[in-house]
Amino acid sequence: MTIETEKREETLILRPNGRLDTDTAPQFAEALDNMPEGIKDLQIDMEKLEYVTSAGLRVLLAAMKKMKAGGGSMTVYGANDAVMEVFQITGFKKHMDIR
Amino acid sequence: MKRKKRSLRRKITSLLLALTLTALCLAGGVSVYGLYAMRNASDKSSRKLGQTAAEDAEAALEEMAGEQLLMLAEEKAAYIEEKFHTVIACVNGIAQAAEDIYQNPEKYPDREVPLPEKGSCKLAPQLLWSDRLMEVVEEGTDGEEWILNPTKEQQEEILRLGNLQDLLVQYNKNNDMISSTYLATESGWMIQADYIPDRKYTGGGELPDSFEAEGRQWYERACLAEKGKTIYSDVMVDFHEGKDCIVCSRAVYSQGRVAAVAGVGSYLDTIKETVWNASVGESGYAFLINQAGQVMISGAEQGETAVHTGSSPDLRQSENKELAGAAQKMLRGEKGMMELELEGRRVYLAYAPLNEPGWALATVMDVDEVLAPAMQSQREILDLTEDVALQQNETIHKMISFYFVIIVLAAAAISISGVLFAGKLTYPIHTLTREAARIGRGNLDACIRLMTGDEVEELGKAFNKMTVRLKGYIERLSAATAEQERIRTELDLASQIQKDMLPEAAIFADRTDFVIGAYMTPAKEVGGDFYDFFRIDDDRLAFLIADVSGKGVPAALFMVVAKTLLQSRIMEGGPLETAIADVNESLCAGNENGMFVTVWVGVLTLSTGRLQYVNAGHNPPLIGNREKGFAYVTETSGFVLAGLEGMTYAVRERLLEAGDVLLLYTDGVTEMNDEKGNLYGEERLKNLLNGERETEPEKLMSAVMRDIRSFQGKARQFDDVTMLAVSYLDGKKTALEAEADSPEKSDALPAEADSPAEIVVPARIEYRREVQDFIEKILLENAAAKEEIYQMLTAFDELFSNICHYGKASKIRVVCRVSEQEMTLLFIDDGIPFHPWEKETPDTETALEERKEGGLGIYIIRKLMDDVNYRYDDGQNINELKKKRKGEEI
Repeated sequence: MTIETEKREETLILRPNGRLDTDTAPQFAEALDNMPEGIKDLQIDMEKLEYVTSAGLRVLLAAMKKMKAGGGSMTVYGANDAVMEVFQITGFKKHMDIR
Repeated sequence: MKRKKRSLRRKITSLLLALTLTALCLAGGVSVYGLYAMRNASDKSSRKLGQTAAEDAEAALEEMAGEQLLMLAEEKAAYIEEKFHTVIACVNGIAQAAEDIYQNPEKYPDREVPLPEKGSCKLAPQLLWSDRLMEVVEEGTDGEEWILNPTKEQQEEILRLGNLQDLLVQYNKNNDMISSTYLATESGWMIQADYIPDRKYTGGGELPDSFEAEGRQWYERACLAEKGKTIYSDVMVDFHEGKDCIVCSRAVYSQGRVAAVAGVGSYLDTIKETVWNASVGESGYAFLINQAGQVMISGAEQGETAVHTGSSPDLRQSENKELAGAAQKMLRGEKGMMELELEGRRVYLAYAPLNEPGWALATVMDVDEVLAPAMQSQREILDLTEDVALQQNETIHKMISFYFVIIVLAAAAISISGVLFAGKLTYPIHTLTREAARIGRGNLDACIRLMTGDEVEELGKAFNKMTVRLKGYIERLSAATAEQERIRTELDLASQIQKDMLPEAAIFADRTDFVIGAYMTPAKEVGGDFYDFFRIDDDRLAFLIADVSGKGVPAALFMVVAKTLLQSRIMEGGPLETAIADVNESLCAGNENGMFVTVWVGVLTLSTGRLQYVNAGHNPPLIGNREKGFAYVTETSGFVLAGLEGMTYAVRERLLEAGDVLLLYTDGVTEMNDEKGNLYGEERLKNLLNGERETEPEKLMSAVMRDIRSFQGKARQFDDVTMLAVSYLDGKKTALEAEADSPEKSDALPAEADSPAEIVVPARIEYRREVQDFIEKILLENAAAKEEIYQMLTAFDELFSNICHYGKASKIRVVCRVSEQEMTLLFIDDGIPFHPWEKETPDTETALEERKEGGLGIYIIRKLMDDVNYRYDDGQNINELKKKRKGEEI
């Protein structure tokens, strides 16, 4: 998996490309840990994400918690059917800002 | 197209030189131009000045000369007039004295006037008389004798008039203008005082020559003149001397009538001597004309204005109109000056009147002479101008030469200083270039030392830094390269050893009952593929193909072990399945790396064509002949060797007919990728063989190679490509018919109704990827949709990581089976008993932040899969995940 990052003032956009699973979740977690200071709006563009497993969900969850604790927000968009299905199954769809 | 290289130094020098020379040439050009312009202006103005000065001088001189001439004329005229005034005074004195004598004779005593003394040249009064006072007294042979015979009155008259003799002498003596003084009476007496008594005796007689006053011009004019008025005669010839003279005379009245005429004669030469003592310039002269326009006195030796002996012409009648005009003006009593042509020369003529006698005097001077000083000064000015111009020219030429020398010197100086300066400027760059070249040649010990304090020094430092880094890098690279080279050499060696271990097909070239052919092209230097064939005994041929998991050195080492074990164990004899099981046990022992090998091994009994074979997880081979075509040998495969201990293997049998050929291959053939990532596939392989219908092993394999190469295109080869083909030729088919309807044989054609595959890996998360790739490969081979693959892989990820994390298992065996209806994943692990599907449904409703971790993965599997079940059997957890395929949507 490759992760592309784009920073616009207080907005950080992450574009994971590939599969977010047990293998790649640590990489994604690292990308989120390395988030620059002062980011208020975290956006995750899932256009190129093939699928996500629970390992990936855990990282997303941790990120969301972190953003909310800092008074910011996290948005997810561009998810394909496979990803969306997992979001649906797990209830993430209801509780996460998914567009 | 070779470009000439020019050094920086030369460029800088050239630039400096060009700039300076241009500046110098421009400055020089401007200066020279300025000098020339100045010279021309100065020359012009000098010439103009000279011209003007000369003209001014000419005009001034002309005016001055005119004034001078006129003044001279006036002075001379006044002087002459004064002189003649004295003459006139004398005449008046004589006439008044005579009149007084005539009126008062009683006052005067008798006084005799002496006769001219012969031979005397002294001033003396002399008595002369007219023939009228003479009479012939005697007529002899000697001729008539004349004697003086005056009347008494006449005697009386001369005795009284004799008193005038002293006056006459005094007048003559005291006035140098006067040459003679006299009184002539009407009666015929003549008293004369002069210096030439001797000249009175030209007749040769005893008595003086008689003198007839009547008829003389001076006598006539005096008689006719107004009473008391003096007159002047024209120029006339003197009676006695024969010289030119003029006479001033006046009538003497007595009792109302002319009794006598008093006269004073002046020789012109005497007048000239007396009066003409002033010269006029060098070529100038003066002349005097009388009332008749005759030139009386003149400085000219010849020409019209000279004195003419005898009858002088009237100048007013001159053919020279200018001169005639001048003469008229003169005699009208005017004064002035004019320029005229005289005797072929241009002259100035100034004139002034003598009022008393009505004469006029003119002074004449050559124009040339007058203007000579002006001409001279003009010439001098022009000469001076010329000199100045020449001097300026000389100066300019000197300046030009000076400039030329300066330019040459400057060029030389700048060349030298430019070279030095450019040298100084470019020296660091040269140094830098030289050192950089040294570095470029590989000398990384070169150090650039520049202390210029500018950018070049910075550049030098940068070079030094680069060199140090480069050196370090090269050292590291050298070490790494050496290491790599060593490994490479060893791998080459290993590759060679590996290759040498494989048998040559040529060893069975002389067989007539079978033909064997082998092909192998490793993707890397050493690979995991291998094949083998050997005779167990005279009638049996063993042949096998194998694929060790992984690649490179570990795979190659494992291959060596596997190959050795297989050959030795099969050669040992016994049932084939037992042999294979034994090999499995041997390979499992000490297989710490979790490697495994798939093997397809066959034993052909040559006499009967009976083929026994065991498939340990290997790709199904193809079997066929020219007539029937080819099909896969697709009985259920056994587990891979070295995967799990205690595995058992099934042996299968079939009977070969003469002409049957068997193609064994590794997955390098069917899994060959094309450029788009498509797999070559078993279907294409089978179709190819059915198309070719080739049974000759070498040709068969060549056809396959050609096809997979054309399929591959430019895609990289990922896996080894290995093939082994065995063609059975001799059919001593005694048992053939009996075996013809064996169930295995009927299995041969249905082929890919079901294609299970499995993989065994240690139960560690590091092996997850390997299994994932395995599953994905199988799914792709079975044309699963992308979404299906993602779902299956998600489920796999969840379960595999779950087992790894919590199961405490040592190995996981994953079997993937795909049919047209469903996809099945079988997880078999030796960990603690764990029933995942009994776990309670995790909370998916509460807010994410509040959730407890765990259970989510299992929940996802349950939701994604259509069927999940678990059993614990023989110490193993067995989890089965099933997902229905989407059917037509594929």
